[in-house]
Amino acid sequence: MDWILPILDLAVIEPVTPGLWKPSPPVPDWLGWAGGDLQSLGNEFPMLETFLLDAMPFWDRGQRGRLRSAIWKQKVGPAEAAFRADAIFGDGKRALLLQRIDEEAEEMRRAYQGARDLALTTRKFDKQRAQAELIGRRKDDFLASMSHELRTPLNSVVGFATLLEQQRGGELTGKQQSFVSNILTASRHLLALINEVLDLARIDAGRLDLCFETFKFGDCVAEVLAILGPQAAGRHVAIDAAGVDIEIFADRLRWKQILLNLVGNAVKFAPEQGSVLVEASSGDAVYEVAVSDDGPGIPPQKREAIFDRFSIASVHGAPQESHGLGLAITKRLVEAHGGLIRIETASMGGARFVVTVPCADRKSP
Amino acid sequence: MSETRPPLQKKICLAGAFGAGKTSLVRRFLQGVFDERYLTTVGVKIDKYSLLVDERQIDLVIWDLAGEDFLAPLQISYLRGASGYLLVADATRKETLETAESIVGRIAGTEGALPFVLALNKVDLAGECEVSREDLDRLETAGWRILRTSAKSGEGVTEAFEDLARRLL
Repeated sequence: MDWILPILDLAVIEPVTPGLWKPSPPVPDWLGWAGGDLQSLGNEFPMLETFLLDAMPFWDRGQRGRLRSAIWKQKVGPAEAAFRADAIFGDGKRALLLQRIDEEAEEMRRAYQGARDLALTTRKFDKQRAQAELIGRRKDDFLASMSHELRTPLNSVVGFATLLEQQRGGELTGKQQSFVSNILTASRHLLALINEVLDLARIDAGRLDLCFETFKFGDCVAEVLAILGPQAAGRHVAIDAAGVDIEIFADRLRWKQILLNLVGNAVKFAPEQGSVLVEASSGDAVYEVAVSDDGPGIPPQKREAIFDRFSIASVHGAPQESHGLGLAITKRLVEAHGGLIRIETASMGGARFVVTVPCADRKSP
Repeated sequence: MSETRPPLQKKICLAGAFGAGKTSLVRRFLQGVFDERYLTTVGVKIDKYSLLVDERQIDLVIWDLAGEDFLAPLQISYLRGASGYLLVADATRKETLETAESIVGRIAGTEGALPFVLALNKVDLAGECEVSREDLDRLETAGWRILRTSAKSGEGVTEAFEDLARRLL
């Protein structure tokens, strides 16, 4: 027994007479207590003062077992050390084990440190994310508010310019008609941009309310083609539709907006006398809508970035009139329907935008 | 001939949420240094320090208790025999003030109304402060003694320990 105590860095303290305790030899160097009452031991090791309040009744109960203290650190001589105490009762004897546990305490500290570091880091990130979200919301509110403020007077500009163009206020000279036409083109472009910014801000602020209904997708395609028809005809672009005679359950107006963006882009990027194809299919779980063109296509490495806001159409390789917001809005509208949008290479050589939306939500949109 | 009064020995504890800076405050108070690294405390760290308060020597036995968190609640039993405690909260984490309020309630429930001082620590990080003037006003109205401390700069550290020691006389 004598040889093992120094290895364990353990002091066994036992009573010799009532009230008088002594350490079993060999006494470890760090103990610094030769014996006496337990109060004097408590002066050396303040933790024991508290621990002995529990240890005394434990010993007095006379039941076999062990009571363990918490780990504590204190100075012994010039250095700091970690300790733990055990009150033991067995075979009618009581003993106090006092053990140095520097390595065990350090291992435990490391384990706690990892968990607490993680908790602090997570909190820091949560705080930063909350701040970023707050800034984002304020920015969206600002955009929404500014866009609204800009749109109101701009509607006036467009309205009165239209009246001028229609010569309701009197006959215009050829030069004046040209000026008015420029005003109208520019202000309509600006209005479209503001509407898109407003849309995007509304979606990002989580204020997009979808109104789900069952409708014939073919009707939606027909309305879009009626709008884009003149533009396509002007560039001799043919638009075909296949399999669009399906019913879908979605927000009809927003789907029309999705389709307008995708088909509008396809018409813009198709070459003169090119082709655009709108396809649709309905399975058990999803609707799939695809819009293809025979334009320059989109290289795979640019396909993800094209859905970023203000990612302008030059990514397509063909400079066209665009605000760089249409696809960002389209993606968010598709996602608001629980769907996904991806880009492929069309069999006709250009880009093929494929929208996949689950159709299982008819009862609870 | 003046009478020399014997030194008073007082046990005080530092309690609060984990990472509030309890160990750093003790280190700043005892050694006058600060370490940027966060080294968590396991169990209890005990130090002794003598100081003179109102011409009376007080031998403090300082129990720096492991901070409370989801892993380990504060062991109130460590406060047995304590004459008072320094409650520590992190000014940049408001929830540590809530933890401090909870600790005060639990200590009062088992040890009675021990004197305490709240050290609102890390006030050097003024830009990140989450604890508001209203929070502190509410606690001061409830009778709390609150001192703004920074273990990093040393601001208010000695004052906090001395203020607590004075309450123990």
